[in-house]
Amino acid sequence: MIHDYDTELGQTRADVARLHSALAREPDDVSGATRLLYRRYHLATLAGQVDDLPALRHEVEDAIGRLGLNGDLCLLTGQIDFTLHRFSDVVTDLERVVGLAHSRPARALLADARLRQGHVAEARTELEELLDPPSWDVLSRLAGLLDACGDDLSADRAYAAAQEELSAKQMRAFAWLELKRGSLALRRGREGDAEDHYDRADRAYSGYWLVDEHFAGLAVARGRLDAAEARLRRVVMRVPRPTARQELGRVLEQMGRRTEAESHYAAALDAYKASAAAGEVHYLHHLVDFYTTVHIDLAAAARWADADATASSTRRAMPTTSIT
Amino acid sequence: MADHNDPNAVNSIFADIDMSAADLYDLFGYPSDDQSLGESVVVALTFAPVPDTGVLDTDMLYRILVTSHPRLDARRDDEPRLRSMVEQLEAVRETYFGNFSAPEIRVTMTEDQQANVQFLGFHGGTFTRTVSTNEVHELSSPSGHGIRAFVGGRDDAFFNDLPGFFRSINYAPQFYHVPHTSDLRELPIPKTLLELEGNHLFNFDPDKPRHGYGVKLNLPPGPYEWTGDRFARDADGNYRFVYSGEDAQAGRNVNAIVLEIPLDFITGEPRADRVVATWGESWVLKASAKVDTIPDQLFWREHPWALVDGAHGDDQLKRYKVVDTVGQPFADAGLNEREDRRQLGANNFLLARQFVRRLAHLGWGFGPSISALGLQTSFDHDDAPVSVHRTYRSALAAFPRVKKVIFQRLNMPDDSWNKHGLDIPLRRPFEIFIPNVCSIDMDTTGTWPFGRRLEDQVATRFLAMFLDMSADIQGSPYNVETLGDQKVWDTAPVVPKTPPNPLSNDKDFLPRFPYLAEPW
Repeated sequence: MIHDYDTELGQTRADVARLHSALAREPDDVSGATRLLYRRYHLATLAGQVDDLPALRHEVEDAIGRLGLNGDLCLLTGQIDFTLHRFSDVVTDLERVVGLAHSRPARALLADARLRQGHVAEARTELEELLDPPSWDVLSRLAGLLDACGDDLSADRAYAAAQEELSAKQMRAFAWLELKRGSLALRRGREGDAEDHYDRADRAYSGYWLVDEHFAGLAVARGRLDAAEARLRRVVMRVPRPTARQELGRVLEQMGRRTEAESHYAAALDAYKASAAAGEVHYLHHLVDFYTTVHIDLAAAARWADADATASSTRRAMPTTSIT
Repeated sequence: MADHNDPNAVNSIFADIDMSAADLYDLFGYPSDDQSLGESVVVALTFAPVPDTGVLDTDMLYRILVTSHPRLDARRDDEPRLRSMVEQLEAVRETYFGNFSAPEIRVTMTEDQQANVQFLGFHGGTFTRTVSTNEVHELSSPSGHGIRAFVGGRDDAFFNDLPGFFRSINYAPQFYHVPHTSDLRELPIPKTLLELEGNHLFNFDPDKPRHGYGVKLNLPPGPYEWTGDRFARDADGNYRFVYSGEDAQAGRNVNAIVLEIPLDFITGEPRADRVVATWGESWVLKASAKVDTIPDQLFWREHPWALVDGAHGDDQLKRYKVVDTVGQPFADAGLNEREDRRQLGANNFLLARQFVRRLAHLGWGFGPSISALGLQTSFDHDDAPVSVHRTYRSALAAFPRVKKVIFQRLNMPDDSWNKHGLDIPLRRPFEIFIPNVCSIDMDTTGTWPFGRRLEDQVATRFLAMFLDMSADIQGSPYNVETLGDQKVWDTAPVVPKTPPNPLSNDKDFLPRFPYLAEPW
């Protein structure tokens, strides 16, 4: 059986290859270059290769230098910076082209960044203004805001409303919203509801590692460590996510397999530290978590927390509202 | 979002926007010349050939709504006033969207490419048939009516110089790479039928002859306002036409739903209900509906009628989202500025005032162009020597300029359209475009604007609205075909000497159902 995820991954890789070839023939084609960079961003996030994004960010900047400033490329830099947790940079990115910050996609992204910087009321006002006409992405952002504010009921309604805006051509987005709703339910201890949502996500878009990751969390909550291990092993085989390695280590440790767990912890820690050494900030809070819950070292945790605070002094630890 | 001219995400003529099966192209409708089913009407809905020509998307639902009513021949030629136009339109709205549901045909596809064709609410009954694609079928209704149906791939019956139209409105995305985050579409340059001196962004460049015809350039930085004061002329004193007459749709395919339906299946009063109004819609399955069919795929495969049964009431439509609508050609592209939020479909009465403002905006561009060619225009441009870029916030302010464009009756080239020689009033633009339906007069040939036949050059006829229909040319009154007459161009001070759009399709239409030519 061919899974939906594999189909999309294959198509995206084929798109990237085709656009690469086309651009080689016409290197000054702004539209072609823009499409290629957008597809590569999509490929990186789809394949869970967030570590590819800093390099891609540089390539987008090179393209801007070569082809000139344009709104689409600056929006992409903003999107990448957001994914890399550089929320202050998002604002700067979107102000580089006159009028860009007033476009609908830029306003939605800016609201996301504002939320992450703790400007909840400002973000909410902006998102509510963007609801005419309603769109799934704005509704889901609003749901994320409500979720972050602890209003689970309203968040779930907003996620459900976002789902109603989606067509059969957007099943991955539908699955992602099901995962968000399942996570909400799980946090409230409604494991059965969470399972229903995760099942639905799996049916909507099969073979998605993000679904496995969520099922693993549910299995842990239910004490079904074997099932959690199986799910997480599938994730780490498919995508290079250090967070999944850390989680797998945690499950193995709970199962009493300390040696195996340590190898996964070490892999996660190496990845976090390599990222931090490269000047990236998106794993800093994971380092804090690592040193407070895995290898407990409060001094180290404090150092990383300080680095995180310095990198983004106003950023809050809130759940992501972007599809990763 | 209808027709070939739309830049919206669901539309397809631009290279950087993927085609979508939801992208409706055209709706044709006319009385059939074939009487073997009795008095019948031909309706053809065409749309993007996605996933392929002759292969239809299983997530889509296509609707063709069909209603009938007596000819509204009691309308008076009132003093052209905005209020009377709006009042007349309000009365017409009840005819179409009062307290009733129009009969309709719905087409959905099974996974194995069988078409479920549902006839809902017709005088002749409600029934469903499942038919194979790319073949002609003669269906039998419960009431004994024969109905011809075809679902599948055909040649695109639209023939048009679309890049010429885009050049006339300075539509940047056809000629340049325009960022999607920018709102640059129609640049602030006068609309025009003749090139403007110094309009380097859009004037024909012999060094780049395919610019706009598939070739896009990087958009130079602004400002984009035109600062000239005259039309461009060559060394011989000729203007340069923005149109080429080339068929931009040549060699292209569509997918299509074609039906030939007896009038007495549509209405129980075929002698009285002489007008059949029809419009099309595309709907896409909601994600939430799709996921609910996934867990028990075996069930749906074994019980496909369970989905169809949901059609009664409107449980079926609740599972879909409307995407695109089509009724009149150019109703969206020419008049609604192709904005998604203005895609109201057939029920576009809210746009009546916008219609006035938009026509006035176009008139300031096309009117002076027509005058420069030595032709008479219906638009009052105060003898402007060159096209003007002017927009209006108020329909009231725009109306005096455009009232003749809106209220004049559009002459036909001869009497052949009126096949029974009846007292049928010529149609006026506001009656044609609002509501946005194809209104087929069964006592005519159904040539536009009395319907739309396959062979009608509707883009050129659309431009004829800006001609003064009370004037004469070469001894005959102006009419909807005047700009398609080669003799007009032979004597006009313009090059190339061609009608704006091709005069016929790239492939011959068929003399028999389904009438649209075989696909390429």
